[in-house]
Amino acid sequence: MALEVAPTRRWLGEVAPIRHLDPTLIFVSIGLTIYGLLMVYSATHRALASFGDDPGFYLKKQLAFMMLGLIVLVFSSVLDYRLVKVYAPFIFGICGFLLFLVLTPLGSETAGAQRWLTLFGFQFQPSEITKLALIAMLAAYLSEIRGPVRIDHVWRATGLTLIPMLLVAIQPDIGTSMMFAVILVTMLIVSGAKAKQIGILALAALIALFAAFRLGVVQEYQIERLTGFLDPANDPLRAGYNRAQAEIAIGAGGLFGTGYGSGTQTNLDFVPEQHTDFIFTVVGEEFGFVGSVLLLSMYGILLWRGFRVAMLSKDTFGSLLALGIVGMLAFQVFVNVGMTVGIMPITGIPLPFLSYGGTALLTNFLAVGLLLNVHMRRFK
Amino acid sequence: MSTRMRVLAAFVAFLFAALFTRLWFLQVLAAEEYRERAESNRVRIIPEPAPRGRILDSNGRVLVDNRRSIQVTVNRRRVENAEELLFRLSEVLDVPVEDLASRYEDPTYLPYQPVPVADDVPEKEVAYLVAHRREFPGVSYRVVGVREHVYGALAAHALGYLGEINEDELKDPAFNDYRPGDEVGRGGVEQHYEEFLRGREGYRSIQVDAQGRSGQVLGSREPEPGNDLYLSIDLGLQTAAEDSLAQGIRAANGVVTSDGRTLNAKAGAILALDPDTGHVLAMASYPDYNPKIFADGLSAKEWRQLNREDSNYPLNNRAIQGQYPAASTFKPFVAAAAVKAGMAGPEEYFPCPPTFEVPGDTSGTVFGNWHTGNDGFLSLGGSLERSCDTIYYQFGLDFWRERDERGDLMQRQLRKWGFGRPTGIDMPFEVEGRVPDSEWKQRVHELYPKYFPEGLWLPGDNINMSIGQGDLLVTPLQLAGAYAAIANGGTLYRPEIGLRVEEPDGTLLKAVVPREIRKIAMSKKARDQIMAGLRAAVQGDGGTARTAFAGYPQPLAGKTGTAEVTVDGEETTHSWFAALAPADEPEVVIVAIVEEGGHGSEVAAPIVRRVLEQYFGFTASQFHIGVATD
Repeated sequence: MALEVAPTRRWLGEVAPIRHLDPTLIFVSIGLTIYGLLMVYSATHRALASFGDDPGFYLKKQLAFMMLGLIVLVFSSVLDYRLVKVYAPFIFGICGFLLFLVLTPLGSETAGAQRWLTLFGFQFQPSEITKLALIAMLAAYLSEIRGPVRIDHVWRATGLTLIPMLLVAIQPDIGTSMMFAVILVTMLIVSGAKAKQIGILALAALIALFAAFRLGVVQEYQIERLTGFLDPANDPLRAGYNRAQAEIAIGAGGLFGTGYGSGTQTNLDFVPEQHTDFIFTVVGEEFGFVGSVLLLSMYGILLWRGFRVAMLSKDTFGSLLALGIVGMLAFQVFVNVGMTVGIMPITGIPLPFLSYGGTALLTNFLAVGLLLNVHMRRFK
Repeated sequence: MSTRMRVLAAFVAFLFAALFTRLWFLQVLAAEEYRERAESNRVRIIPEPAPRGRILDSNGRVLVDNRRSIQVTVNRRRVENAEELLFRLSEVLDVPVEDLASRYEDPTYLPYQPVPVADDVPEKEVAYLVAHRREFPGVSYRVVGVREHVYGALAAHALGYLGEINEDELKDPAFNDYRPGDEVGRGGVEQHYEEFLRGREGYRSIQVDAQGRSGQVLGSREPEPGNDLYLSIDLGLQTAAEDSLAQGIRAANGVVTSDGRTLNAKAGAILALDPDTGHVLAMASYPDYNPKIFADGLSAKEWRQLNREDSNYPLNNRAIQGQYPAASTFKPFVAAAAVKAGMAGPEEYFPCPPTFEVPGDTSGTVFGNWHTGNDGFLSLGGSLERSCDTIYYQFGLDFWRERDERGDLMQRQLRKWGFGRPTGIDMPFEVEGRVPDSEWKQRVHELYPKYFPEGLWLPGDNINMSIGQGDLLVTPLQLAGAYAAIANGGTLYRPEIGLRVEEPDGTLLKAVVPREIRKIAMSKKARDQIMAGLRAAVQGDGGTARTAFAGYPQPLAGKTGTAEVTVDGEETTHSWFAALAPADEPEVVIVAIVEEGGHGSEVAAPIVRRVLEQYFGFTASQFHIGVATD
């Protein structure tokens, strides 16, 4: 037996990185997506049916995106991730250009913000892909630093981040813009920036924010919307209504939930945007504390595997790439779930893999593909 | 690297722990409470708005009414291609796509709130949208009550408009039963009579099943419509006042007068009072605005337009918010004060030289009359007829000389006529004007030494004030109220524009009764002199308004005023006129001011003449710029 296995192992080990695939990562991301499909259907089928539409409309669309996502996953893990390092500035540049295009008349808008670009009949949101492009760009730059991180490295990394940050802030999409900042800080910390340097950066950010407010670049209502959650009763724009309804839905779920498809809050349309930003309320109401914890545990596993990839990576670039992805996913989960349970402001950040939305789902699969990629090539 | 990685891992673990804790609290510890709240969420409260009360004129003609309007809304989150959707909506609704887009993009709405994009949509078009709802994702409609100003911009300032209640008001206990999104009166009687006009909202509470379909009605309350408000305004007089004011200002804008000045009139106000009750018969301010823009939902651009200097602030009600030097229209009150203080006998004659100097003053300051001729000796009435400044300079100086014994006597007398404090009219945002005295001068000197280098009350201050200049400021309403007191023999009323409030079925709820502020002590002789002077000012040989009222078929009393002011660093004059008609038994007092309208006799007097002609049914004269007198 041993004699038969050995050559196979050697052949696979030497020639095909596929041998070192992390199946847990694949299963958990597919698991999360299926969890999301269930929730999207539960949140939408009644409303669709009542309008005389196909009750499975959103489900089918999201299912198609999942299939597409799996193809993306395969592609993004097959090519050597070190190519990403080489092409990072190029990719980053293209993303910046697309973000610029969104602001031109070529971009289309929803909810009063220019976020979409239509290419070949498909709409997509360049800001989603740009998150990964920024991670790759920063990983490429920071991994080349020899010796300790100096303050000018911090400024250069910040300069790179500001490009997409500002372009997205103009759309305006303050939530995603903040995500870029989170990515920057995460990657600076893991690449060894000193606490003092982060402090200086934070101070500069505060001054810039203050200046933006004084110059009227940031409007008062935007600040109110971000701080409204601290005092829901006083929320002038009634953002407190959405939050209160989301909390009631989640709280009413109790320990075990009301059961699949029977969440009254979900189906009576009390919670807005249940299939996108507020999808977690469906989980909380219909599957209760148990279902919520299960979901968070799945994210926990995903993040743990991500950390493991970073730990095992044979080069700094791979580690930084993995950690950037982990940081991005972790914060998105926290900000989104935090918003529905009332501990974070309402920002319109989708829940990874769960929220309905094609570009976001494909980006998430691309991210997991890159994690797999780093993991597979840890020996070579 | 791996230490830093642990820091990040620990931080992520901390964030997740926070989520777990919060979920534990919501779903395990507080689950019961939330379940109850969810249960009550099955009951839907459908509010039924109450129509607001109407506003009518004194003859019962409806000025402000309500109507139902169907509003088309868009939920922006459900829209995938806004451009295309708005384009198709624009075709269906026949509204320019730019208009739809600018409302669609209103950033003050939350992403989840439906945004109203079109009002007054005909039911046929709504039916089309409902039938084709799959082609219009996110598009919905709702029925709202809309305030309708029957005569457009007529009496816009006096009526006010409706606006959405703001955050600060919601915190105010006075607005206890208001909810965010409710409308409240803004400005004018809409604001002052809010509690009467606003009805009580009704509701239906409906049990909804798990499919969200409505079922049994659990309870309801009928909406109670608001009460009707009758104003003392007369539609005919109001229209005449507005038309004449606007016509006069337009005629006087850019006109070159016979002595070579260019009039630059852009704004003004006019008021008509019933002198026997203090009720406002007409009130207008120019420029005005059409309240319809508020009912239609105001865009940010329109709001800026309304608050810009080069649009002359059309939202300001100059009748109660404009403050101007009273100029010569102030003289009757200074004359009354001089008689009261014993400085002038009602039958005395006073010299009217072309110039006046303070005896003993070595600075060489010369106060001139408005013209260079010598008018000889004039009676008190004659001083009003010819508007002789130098006689009043002497009164001012006399008051100043007695300051040690009698204090600021002139100011105290003038305040009795209602100057220097708000009249208390039933309307918000009235300003108080200013009757300056030695204390005031000392105070502003201490506060702003740079602008007021002198803190002492000097003879010149009294002298300037005696002809209504200096630091004196009055509102058109204060002046009209004071002239009404002359007309009725000395009773100062609190002006009121409200007449009565009636319940929807016609029952009287509240009558606005005339309120006396005080009786001003004035001898009959003094009053006769003043009235004779005011008559002569219009119809006497030397009257300053003689040419402006040439051929006017009724005994009339009035007074011109030419207020010297500095606007943007340039010296110019506001044009005033006050009329009491008919002179024997005045039944209406009219005061008009035109900013930068030249002399009182040039623009304000012809405007008032045309209003009087229409009020009394005389043949209307052609509007023409009068001859320049003081």
